[in-house]
Amino acid sequence: MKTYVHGTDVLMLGLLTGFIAMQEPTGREVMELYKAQDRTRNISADETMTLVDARGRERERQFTYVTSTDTDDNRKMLIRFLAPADIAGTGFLAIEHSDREDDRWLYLPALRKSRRIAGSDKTDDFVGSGFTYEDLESEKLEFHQYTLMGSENVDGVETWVIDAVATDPQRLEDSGYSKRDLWITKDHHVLIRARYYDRAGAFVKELRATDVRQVPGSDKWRAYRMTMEDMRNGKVTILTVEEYGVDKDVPDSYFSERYLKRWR
Amino acid sequence: MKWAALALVSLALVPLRPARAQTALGGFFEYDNITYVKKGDVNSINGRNQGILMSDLRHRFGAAIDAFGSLEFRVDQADPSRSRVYLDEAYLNLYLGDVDVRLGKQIYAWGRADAVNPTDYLTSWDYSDLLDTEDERIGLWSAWAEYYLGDWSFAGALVPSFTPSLLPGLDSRWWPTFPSNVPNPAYPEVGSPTVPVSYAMGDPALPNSGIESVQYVVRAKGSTRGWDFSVSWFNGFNNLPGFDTVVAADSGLTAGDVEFQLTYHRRRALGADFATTLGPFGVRGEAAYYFTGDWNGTDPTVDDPYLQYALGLDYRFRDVVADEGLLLLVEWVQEIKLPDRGQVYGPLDLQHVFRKSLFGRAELNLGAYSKLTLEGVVNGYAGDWWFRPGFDWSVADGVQLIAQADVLGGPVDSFFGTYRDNSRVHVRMRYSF
Repeated sequence: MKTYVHGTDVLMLGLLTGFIAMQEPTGREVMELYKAQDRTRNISADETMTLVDARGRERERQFTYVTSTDTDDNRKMLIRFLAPADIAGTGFLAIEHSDREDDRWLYLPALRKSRRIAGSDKTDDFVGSGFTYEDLESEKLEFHQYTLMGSENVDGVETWVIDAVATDPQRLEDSGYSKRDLWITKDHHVLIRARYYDRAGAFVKELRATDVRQVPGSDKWRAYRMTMEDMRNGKVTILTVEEYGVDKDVPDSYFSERYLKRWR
Repeated sequence: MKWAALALVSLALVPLRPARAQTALGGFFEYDNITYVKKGDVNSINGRNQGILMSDLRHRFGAAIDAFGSLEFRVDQADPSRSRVYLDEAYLNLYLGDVDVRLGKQIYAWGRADAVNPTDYLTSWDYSDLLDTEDERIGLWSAWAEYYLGDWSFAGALVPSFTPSLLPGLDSRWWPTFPSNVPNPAYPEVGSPTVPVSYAMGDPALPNSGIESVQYVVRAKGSTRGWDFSVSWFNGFNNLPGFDTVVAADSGLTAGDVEFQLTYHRRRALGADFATTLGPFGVRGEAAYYFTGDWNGTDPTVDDPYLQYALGLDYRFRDVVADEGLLLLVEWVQEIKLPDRGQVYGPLDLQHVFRKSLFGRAELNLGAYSKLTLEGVVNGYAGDWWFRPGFDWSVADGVQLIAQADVLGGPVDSFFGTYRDNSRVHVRMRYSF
């Protein structure tokens, strides 16, 4: 596994930060700051997902995930559900590729085998939550146009407001959104709010990220609580992160069917 | 009462957060009821009314060793002979660098197809209820090892003792109906008058217990550029028996006895499977050629060599009802005798039920926690069929309700047609912990 952040990256980031401090940045420059902050070689987390329907009834899922990102910004992700008991042990492995369709496998303990599955529509919900697969993708700067709309104070935190629109034709076709509004904090360059507009231009979802903290043992900042509200059906999904692990020593072989099936 | 006490003890031990602990207890408690639309004769079992407590225990001894055991407690009021305490699995996992080893009683599940798996050579099944084979794989005492090398793995299993599949009992609704009168065995050439006959099961002829009967299987598996595939070789025994009958008349030549003689024959198989995706379609298939113990086709009680393959496709339709999706899966299964010497299969040849068969399954989501299902199969060679509409509801986290109906039909001499009076309703409630 190659180390993702190189010395030149750090130098450029320092120059960019200094430059931006002197004048209002462009949307693209803000997103480069965000991307540099967000970028890790690998990251793991233990999370609780609370699904709240329009009538206020709650369901809870606990899962752990590990992701690894290579130098081409392709990501590998392994998710394992821990609770509730009827889905515990279910695993999902996804490997992104630049030159072909992503690989995806699902492991269902009841079947005792992993199953290659077709790449989901990016607009599909992720395990019944308010997050779609598209929402979980890493931000691909080269495929979007970012426009700085201004600055805004959100809950006492200064942010830049960015209008993000996909420019890549394929991405535009696959996306469930015509555009997104993104709020990036000026201090630690963390996304703390996002608004999503459907293909007809209607405001359909809002993400609020709170409890932003520095991950222990790392220079990365992360939100420990994320709330996605779907305006169309009133569903709310709350992700609470118990623990992040950044740039731990995760072997590449971990992202395989072998580990997808393993109890650990 | 002791079952209830065991259930309560197990539930009391449920950890709040079972995963990733050194020791974890899990499992489920299930109530399971089957009601047949038509009652059979007074001696046959006409339903199921059972409770199951499945207790799974895992323990991690260290980074390289863990253990798993699964014990089933089952009480069936409708058929007390089904009540049992049964060790489903008990094994030790060893993680030795690039090699994983599993030793003990374990369940195998091979093959990438969804409905029928020709390469699932090792698995013995509990066929006591022919339609309810979910969770009915039988564990085998065996040793399994797999060596991982990049995107490849090489695996092998040794099974020292033979475990046959479990067949329906003679008093079961899933035992075929045979004539109650046969030509007098003392004068078979006359044909009539007939005599009443009774049926009995003889002692099965199992493979010898010596080293020559050890079964083994090897497999090479790989994954490259969006394709998963494997090739495998099996040398062992058919876990379903070949049937022969011995007919005898009593001394007065007024009645006959038919004894079924079950023999488990050697077989070898060469197989392969694959899975890939083509855009939004999932595609998977597998095939195995079985070298049976009757290459020359001279013994009608032993299978002739044959090829079986399965080819399946799945697709998810979006926004079918409101914004809910529909998963559709179809699979074609065919069996080809190679060479074909015209062997005829009987109603007890469970291995050859699906010779030209189309399977299908549809799942329509109704919100996040429930779905309508429809699955079934049509046998093209005989025109018989089975369908199962169902409703699956996650009542609460860990609580699942499944209600389904089994509907069977077809010509009277076909497989599902034989059991056309066994259409039924099946309800199951499961609490997982």
